Amino acid sequence: MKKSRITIVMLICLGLLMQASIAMAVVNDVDTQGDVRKEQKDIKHRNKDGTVPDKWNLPKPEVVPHPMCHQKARVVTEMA
Amino acid sequence: MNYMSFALFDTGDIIVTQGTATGHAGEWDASKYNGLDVKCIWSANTQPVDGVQLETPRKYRGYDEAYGLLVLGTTSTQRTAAKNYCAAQNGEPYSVTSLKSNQSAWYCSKLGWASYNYTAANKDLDGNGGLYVWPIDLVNDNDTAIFVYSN
Repeated sequence: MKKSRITIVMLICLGLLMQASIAMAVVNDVDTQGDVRKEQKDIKHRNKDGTVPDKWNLPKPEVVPHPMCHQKARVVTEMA
Repeated sequence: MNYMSFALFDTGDIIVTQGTATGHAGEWDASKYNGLDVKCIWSANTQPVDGVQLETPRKYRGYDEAYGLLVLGTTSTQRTAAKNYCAAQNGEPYSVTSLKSNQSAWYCSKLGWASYNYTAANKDLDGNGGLYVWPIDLVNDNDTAIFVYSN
């Protein structure tokens, strides 16, 4: 009888702990975006016929690693 | 309240509002648009029913601010696929604590986010990559552009 009571209490505690961790995750996510506020972002204007200007759809430039990144990687490798 | 114009909205565009604690978000379905009071925006909410549902443009005018977002670098086919993804979840339950990987329970901004993440567009529109995707994350993401704004 006592064991089952202890198990129930433990399950309740576990449930509360999980809820608290979810709440913390929500709060953390809010914090990381700077008080849930928008960043400064320009308004781009759509064409009057509803289409999107071609320049909006240009592919993003390929990300080229900064030379320093290579250098650091090499250093790490050498150290390892 | 805002005075958002919906004239330039097209299928797959995202509407984000601010003015409440979390804001709100939905995805435009041009095939259903026929005025402010006709339901044409896919979202997830707790009312009038619980779950994924269509909402009216007028509802989105009820907030302090509204953003019209276009997902950059997508084709109209991809945007239609995103909208169809939202429609396919119609009636599925609302859960504000559901993880982004959970494709069977929804909150408003997660539906729009998932519609581009899990379809051909393959875009992650979460501006900060957090555990949850808040409406403002969709605005802040580099793959979205604001084409209309009102407050």
